[in-house]
Amino acid sequence: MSQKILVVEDDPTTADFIVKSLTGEGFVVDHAADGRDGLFHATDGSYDAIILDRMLPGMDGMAVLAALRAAKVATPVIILSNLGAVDARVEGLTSGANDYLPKPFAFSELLARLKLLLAKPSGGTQVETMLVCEDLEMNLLSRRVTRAGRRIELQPREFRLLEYLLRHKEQVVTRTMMLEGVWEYHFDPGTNVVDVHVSRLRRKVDDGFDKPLVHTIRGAGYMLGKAD
Amino acid sequence: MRRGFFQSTTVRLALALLLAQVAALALGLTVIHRFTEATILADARTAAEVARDDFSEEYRQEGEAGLVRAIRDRIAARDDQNFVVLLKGPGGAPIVGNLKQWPATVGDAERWRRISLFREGGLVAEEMGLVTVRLPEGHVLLTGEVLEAQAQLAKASQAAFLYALAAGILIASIVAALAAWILSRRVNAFARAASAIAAGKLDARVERDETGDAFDRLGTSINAMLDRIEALVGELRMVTDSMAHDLRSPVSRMKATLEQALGRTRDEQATGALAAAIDEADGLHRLLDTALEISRAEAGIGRDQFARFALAPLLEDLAEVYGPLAEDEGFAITVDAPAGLVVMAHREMLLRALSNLIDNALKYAAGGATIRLSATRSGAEVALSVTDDGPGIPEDRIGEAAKRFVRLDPARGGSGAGLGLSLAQTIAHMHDGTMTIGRADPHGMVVTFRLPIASD
Repeated sequence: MSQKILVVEDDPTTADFIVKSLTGEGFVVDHAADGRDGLFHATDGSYDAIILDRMLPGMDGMAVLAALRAAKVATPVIILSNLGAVDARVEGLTSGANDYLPKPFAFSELLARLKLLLAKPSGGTQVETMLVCEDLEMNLLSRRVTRAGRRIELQPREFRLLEYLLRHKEQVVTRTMMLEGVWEYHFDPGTNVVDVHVSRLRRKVDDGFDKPLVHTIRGAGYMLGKAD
Repeated sequence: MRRGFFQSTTVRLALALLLAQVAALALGLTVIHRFTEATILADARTAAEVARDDFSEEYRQEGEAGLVRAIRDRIAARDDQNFVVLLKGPGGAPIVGNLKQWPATVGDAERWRRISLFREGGLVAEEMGLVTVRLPEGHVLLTGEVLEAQAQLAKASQAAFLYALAAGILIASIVAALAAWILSRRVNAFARAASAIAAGKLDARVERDETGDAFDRLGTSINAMLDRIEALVGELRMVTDSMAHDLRSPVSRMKATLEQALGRTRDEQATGALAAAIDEADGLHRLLDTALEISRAEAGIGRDQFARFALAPLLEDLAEVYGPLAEDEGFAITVDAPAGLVVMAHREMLLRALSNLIDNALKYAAGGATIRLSATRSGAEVALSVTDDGPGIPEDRIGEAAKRFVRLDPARGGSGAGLGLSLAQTIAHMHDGTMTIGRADPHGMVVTFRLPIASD
């Protein structure tokens, strides 16, 4: 069954672009052009995720979000905003949004983040001690990493990066997502900082094994597992 | 290079003031001296003329004998110590008087003559003023006054002048120093505003004292000029901003289109070209974002996000993030920061600035081996430095380095847009700090951030 997404966006060009692209990715997409309409659609709780523009006519995006959360609707929300600075981002996340994306954005970035939100086990809060991807295993307690039973020695930063990839295995993660998730950098340094980290990790994880686990997704980022 | 003490305008002004005061003093004293002298001389002349007229009358009534007796009486009376008289007979021989001899150059009808002569029994020649008259039977009478008062006046004037000069120099020095101080204080208001502007605080203005004097008016004009400049810079920034902003949308649409195309083709060559185009679009996007970030930081947006945090972990973090990349480029990143050094800053912005500096070092310190991140406390400031041991930059191009869109190596193409240093500098200003670029010892470049230390 395909997942349902609600897009609340007043700018027709952006809305059209998001709706078409998401439909192309196999989602069922509804569109609301203002805050009131968006809130009305969103409150029935049948959506898997909501993409919410911050600046909306009628009712501000942040007000819609506040109303939703007040009504105990826990649908994941990604805020889209022109206020693309760190400050606005922090404000968005503290008021109940699950993710935040500055406008204009690359669709691959939106898609990766959306899939990440959809894949999150809702309510699953039991503590994980073991992360597994095919024959790669990470023990979070002993901090041991093995592949096909063979021990892999990782430096702390490599461990953190691999942990992040394992937690989001079989999903595309973009460079900015990794910068945020692993190092808490909320800006893109612009150099291939992330690529170098990944290529080092890849050497340790994939060298000497027939099937590579770390994949480069052109134009988007990286993915651990599920080679095609 | 500092010029000499006497080249200083303030010192020159003070000296000119001092000279003017001394000149005025000298002029004043001279005038007083001249007036007093004129009065003294007029008195002496009157005395001489009165004596001449009295004795002439005596002669006309009593003849030679009467005159001689009158002169003798007058000399004997000693009521005027300065009185001078001499009568010579028709033959030219002195008959009676208190001068040693008839002065050779004095004629028999002098109306007022000043001359130095010896008095009877006198040891020194004395300055005197005299008149002469020829009497009816060939006698010639000389009457006059020794100008003793005038000599005393000259002495007194000299002394007075010296004392007054000494006092005058003292007072003039104080006044000059005071004037120089007032002047410096007023000029400093301009200097302060100017250096604040130079440091990027375009809203700095000359402090006014509302007196309406020339300085105040100058301040008003300069402030009006600064208002205009600030407005123009603001407009320019707005245009740049909206350009950067408007350009972002087509760039991201272009990227989206390229991504869609990438998803639809299996052709190896097309895939490569599309991926390269996406990378270029990303680069352009970042450039526009950086330009916007600069504007935001320049406008001081984000100051409310300042927080206190320790510098050492921040630097360790940076070293970790950049470590592998630096290693690939042949550098080691070292961190040198004392624990417990805390600043009040925008963490994200500071990270961004330092990232840009490390990036810059990686790009331009070719041949170097170490990038050193250090933090030291000096007084109320924290100095954060990124030092490399590459070739460094030529002294004459250091200023250029921090300018927007300038690359240090004109021959260098590639993607090293110079916005990074520019953003770093703006971030320094946003923190009321400064960023300086210099040469490292023995070679290399050092970029130093000076930020005010976090106060409790």
